[in-house]
Amino acid sequence: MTKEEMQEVLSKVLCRKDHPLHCDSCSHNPNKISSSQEDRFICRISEKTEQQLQYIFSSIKQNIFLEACAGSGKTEVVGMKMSYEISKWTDRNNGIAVLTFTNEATETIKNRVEQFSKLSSLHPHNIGTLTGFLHGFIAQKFGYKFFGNNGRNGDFSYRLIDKMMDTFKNHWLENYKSKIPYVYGAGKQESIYANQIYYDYQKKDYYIQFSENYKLTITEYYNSKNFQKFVQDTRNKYNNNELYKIEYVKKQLISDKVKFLKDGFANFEDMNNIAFKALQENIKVASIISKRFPIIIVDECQDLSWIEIQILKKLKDAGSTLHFIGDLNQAIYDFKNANPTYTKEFLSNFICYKLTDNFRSCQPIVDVSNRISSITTTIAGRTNNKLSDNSVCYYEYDDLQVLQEKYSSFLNLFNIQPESSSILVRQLSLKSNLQVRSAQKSIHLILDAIQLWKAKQQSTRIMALELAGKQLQKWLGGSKNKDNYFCPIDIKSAFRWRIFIKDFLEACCSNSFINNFENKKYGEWYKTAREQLPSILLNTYKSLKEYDENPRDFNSFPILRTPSGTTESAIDAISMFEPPTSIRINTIHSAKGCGFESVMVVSSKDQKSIGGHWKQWIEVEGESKRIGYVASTRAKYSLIWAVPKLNAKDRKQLETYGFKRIE
Amino acid sequence: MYISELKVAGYKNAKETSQIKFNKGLNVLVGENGSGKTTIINALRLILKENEFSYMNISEDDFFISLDKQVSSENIKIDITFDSLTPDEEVTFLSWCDAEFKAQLHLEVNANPNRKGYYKKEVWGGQSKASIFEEETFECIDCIYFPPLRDAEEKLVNGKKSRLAQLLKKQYGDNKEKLVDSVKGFNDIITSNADGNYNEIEAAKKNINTKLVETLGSHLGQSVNLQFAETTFNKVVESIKMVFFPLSGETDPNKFRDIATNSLGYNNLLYIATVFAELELLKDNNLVTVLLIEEPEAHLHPQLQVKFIKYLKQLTDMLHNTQVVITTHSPVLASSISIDNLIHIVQKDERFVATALKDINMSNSKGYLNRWLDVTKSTLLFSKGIILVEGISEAMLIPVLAQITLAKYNISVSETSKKPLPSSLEEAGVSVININGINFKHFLKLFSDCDNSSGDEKLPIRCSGITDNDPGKTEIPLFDQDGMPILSDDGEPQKKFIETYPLSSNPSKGNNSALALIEDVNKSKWARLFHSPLKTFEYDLAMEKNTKLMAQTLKILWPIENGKVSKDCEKIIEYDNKYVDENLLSEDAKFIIEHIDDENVGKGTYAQQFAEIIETQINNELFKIASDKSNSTAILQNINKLINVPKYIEDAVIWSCGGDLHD
Repeated sequence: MTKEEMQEVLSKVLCRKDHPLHCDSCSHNPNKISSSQEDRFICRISEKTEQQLQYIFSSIKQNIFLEACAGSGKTEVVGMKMSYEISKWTDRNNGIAVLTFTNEATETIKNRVEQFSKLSSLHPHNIGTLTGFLHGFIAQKFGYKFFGNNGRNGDFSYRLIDKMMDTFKNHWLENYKSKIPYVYGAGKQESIYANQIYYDYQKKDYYIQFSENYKLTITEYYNSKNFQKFVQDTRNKYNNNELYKIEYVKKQLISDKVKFLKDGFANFEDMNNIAFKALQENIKVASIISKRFPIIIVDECQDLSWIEIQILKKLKDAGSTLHFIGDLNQAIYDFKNANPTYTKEFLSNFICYKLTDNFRSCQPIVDVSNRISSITTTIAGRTNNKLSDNSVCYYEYDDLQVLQEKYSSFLNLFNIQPESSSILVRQLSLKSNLQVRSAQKSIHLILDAIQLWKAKQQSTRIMALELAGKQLQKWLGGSKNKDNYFCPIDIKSAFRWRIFIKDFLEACCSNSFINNFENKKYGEWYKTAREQLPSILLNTYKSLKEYDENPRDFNSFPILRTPSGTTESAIDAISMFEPPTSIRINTIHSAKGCGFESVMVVSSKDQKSIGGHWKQWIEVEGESKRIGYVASTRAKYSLIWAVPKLNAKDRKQLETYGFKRIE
Repeated sequence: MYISELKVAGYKNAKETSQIKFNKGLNVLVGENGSGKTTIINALRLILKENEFSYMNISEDDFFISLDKQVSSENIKIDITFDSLTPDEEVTFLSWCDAEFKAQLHLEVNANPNRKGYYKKEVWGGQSKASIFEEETFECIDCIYFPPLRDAEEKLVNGKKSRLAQLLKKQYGDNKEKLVDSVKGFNDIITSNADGNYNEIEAAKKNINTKLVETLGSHLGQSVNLQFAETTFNKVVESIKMVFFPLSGETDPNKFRDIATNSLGYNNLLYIATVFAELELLKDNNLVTVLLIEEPEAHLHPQLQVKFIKYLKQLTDMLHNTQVVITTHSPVLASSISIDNLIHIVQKDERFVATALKDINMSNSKGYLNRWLDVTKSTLLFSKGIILVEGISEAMLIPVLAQITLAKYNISVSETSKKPLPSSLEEAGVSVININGINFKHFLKLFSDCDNSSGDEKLPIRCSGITDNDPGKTEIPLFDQDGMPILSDDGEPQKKFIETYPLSSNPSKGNNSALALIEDVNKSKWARLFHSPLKTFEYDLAMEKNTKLMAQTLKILWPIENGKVSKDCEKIIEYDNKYVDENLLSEDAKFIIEHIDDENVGKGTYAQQFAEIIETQINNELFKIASDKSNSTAILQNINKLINVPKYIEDAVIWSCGGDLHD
């Protein structure tokens, strides 16, 4: 079919066009799918490229890999493909599954499909996250049969437990503490809990996750220097060489894991394993799911982990057609075992479609991104170059804290809205370094709350309620968690509690002693507060009393101490936390799939963490390069790399890639 | 597929988890009032979302409350399981399936409503709450409910509640346009009055509009139009009403009359015909259909009840996807269907217990019961307790003797912690069922293991059987006038057989085949079989020194006054039950029995007369009991003087009423 023919078919199906005119000129059709842009209506069908249309018309009986470069509008294409297919769909008991990696992506695709297909219910189709699908349709549904879940009140669900769950607040985890300790130095031991352990079907061994970025197989751990020393010491101590043999250690850890699963708990990896096993053990499970979902479309397929691919392979073998959509150059989920090399291999016998037009970025940004990632495919930047030779720049920084300000003035200079721009960082720690002061870390709870309350912004008031709530709950018996502004256990109405905090803050604001921080030191304010607060509290408490299961008279009023080390400092008036003009700071991972008019990618100062430093983005093959690629391709008109001070050689290297230095 | 099981807890009169297993096809729920039949129907309606948006929402009354109102349930749990899914259904109902591919549906409601008094329902499928559940699947199940018929007229005339409207809505399905269009068209003709046929309406409209302008002025005024009621499909259909003509075959529409002028009985027939027509539409429906019908017998004469149930049976045999659940109090209905379709419901320990009659092991008795469980005998399915008797005498006399027994029992337990029993069989809900013979084994298998049948399922209600000892005839040698034994042709001494009249000092072994059941039956939880210790019911009654009253009765009934029989009766009456020699008593008893059996009297007539006499006398005595019951012992002695109830009868009565037997 020619491009026009495809557009003709599509507009007949989706817009119910009933005249011979081309879809671009059917402005009077009330069902026309269009979007408004700069005061004119754009026909969403006639703007599609031939490549995009070809995929929309691709067969749903064949396995297809749609290789979609950054900014290629693949969400729109998936949405239209899905709408086209379901408009023709007649079966009521089976449908298409579109699987994404985030709830946001799910919502976006759902919105598109609802816009295009104008259906109120998408049933029998399923648009959702991959995790939700694998867990909800397979692991939770069938897992209990293969892993012997004991169930609770007839419910055989698994509760998803984070591998790094804090045992301090979750005492029940003590039931799953292993006899095998985690030895990480001479005399340094911690406990290992079953939630840290999972089986890896690829490695065919169990892993123990010790910290966010550190895991070892049981064998590796057993042979580690520290653990071996512990084994030797124990054997010597009891004079028994039979102690802590590897078989024993393995058996112990695995039996803890089995008990954990039997009691209905599972970590993320377990859930995937359960799904995999259910498909493997019972051919009927796979066959019925593939009958229910004869077509499975996976968005961002580069993020699929090995086991997820195995699961999808089982469904493919059982009869489902797979459409994988994504960009292997954007695979940045190494830590969850997503390996583009393996994915590529799996996709080798899929029919390949390509989207090589980048609608997000201008050509200079496309070029520089390709160059740093050594991508050879020709990609066309289809966005105007608004900043000419200022499109791609770098900036050398000394002090992270001034970056925001610098970036603000750059944006101002080129007339780019800060709201549509973003600072991208690799690591969360860098993000907090960039932020001036965070309310979450406030130590002057009441003082900060009063200031925030006075700002009368919706966002500052929420924060004020949170801070004041955090302090007040300490005086009212303590809360279970931070839900409902730290509503204490004894208070029966969360709604009343909120009003109580409000009353309290209002009373503080109208108290001239409390509401006065000009030229005062913290010590002075707290002294006043100790005098004033009891009566304010008692007064406001009156209306809360009837909702308090444990009414109190505050006879022994708890003392509000000045936080240590601040007595002599002058009160730091809160400059609005995150002022409205501030530029969003995102991690590169969270910015996936997003686009910004301008992006400043901040390199870490050193190369300690993987993929955080600009040199790694250029030089280190594998994930580091892909991280640099993902970050850079978020930009539409302006890309800036903020890098630590460079020497002449580094500077030259960056400039040969096409970066222009700015001051 | 069909609903194979329902579990209910915390709902209506089921506090503890109550369970009922359903058959494919037709299920007839039988049981006394308040046993839980309606609870079952409503639980099914609730979980299958029949009438979701009308009155069937959860209210406070739906939660179980104990009779003393002290305990109420904290949540409602309703669970159903569907069995035998076809391969297509396994796919359609995937999100409701458990790992065995049975569909499960669960509903939980917490007793704490939100602030607006709304109870939150949690619905989930399969075996685990965390698995994906698709609400849309409800569209694949059709649940139709027929409430008990209280007012046929209301259901037949026009309006929202009209069954006729339901039928028409189903009949029209999705092809509503034509009807709506023609009503609309007619409406347009009236309002436009293009042909000038409706000048009166036009004139009226004009008048109103003119008056409007006159009174309000053209500025404030409004305009009106006159039209023919409403023209939406529902409104049109709801305004169609039924009219009738008392003979079939009438076609002249002018002769039909308003339903209100018809007889109640005939309106019921019209109603049932409407229901049949609605059910007839199910034949074109390939959805899984659950039909819930409450008390269809209301206002239906017996022949029609039989016709109705046979029709449903035929319907379910034909439509494999249709399951019917009926509640009934009608022995006619219960007796005209195979016992395999009957499910007995009874309330026990704050839950309902459901027993499918087909699950009771009845071995070779099944055919017998299917044939002989007629209208009178199927009363046992609606009773709280049962006394099975051999014949008409027992059937008439035992209710009277029970009054005496129960009065005696209640006085004896008044000083103890035992619970008193009701004062009569009617009050206790105990039915006396005449099985016309000694075929106890067929009936007792419903309640106990006997006659080489065994199984776990029994009807959990108390059942007593009362049978006769029936000793064999006594052999006596024949002598000639000389006192020499008469010999037969082959030289053996000739004998004759005469009725045995045993004495309690010298009882004879019974010859009744039912006696062999006693040992097994009496081991059971629910059934006991009692036999007269000596001979027959009447003889044993007489042998309890009741000859005076029995002779009085005989004298009244004997056709020849002042004859020999009357004189003999008088002699016995004069004796006033003061026997010293048991032989004498036996002689008198024999005399009475022989004359009861005489064709001049007959057992039935005698029993009726005897019952009448004692009942009058007992009532006279019972009437004298003071309100504080201080004289009850004395009165009981009076009653005991009147008649002595044989112990085996007493035991049978007490057992069936739920009391404790001494041994």
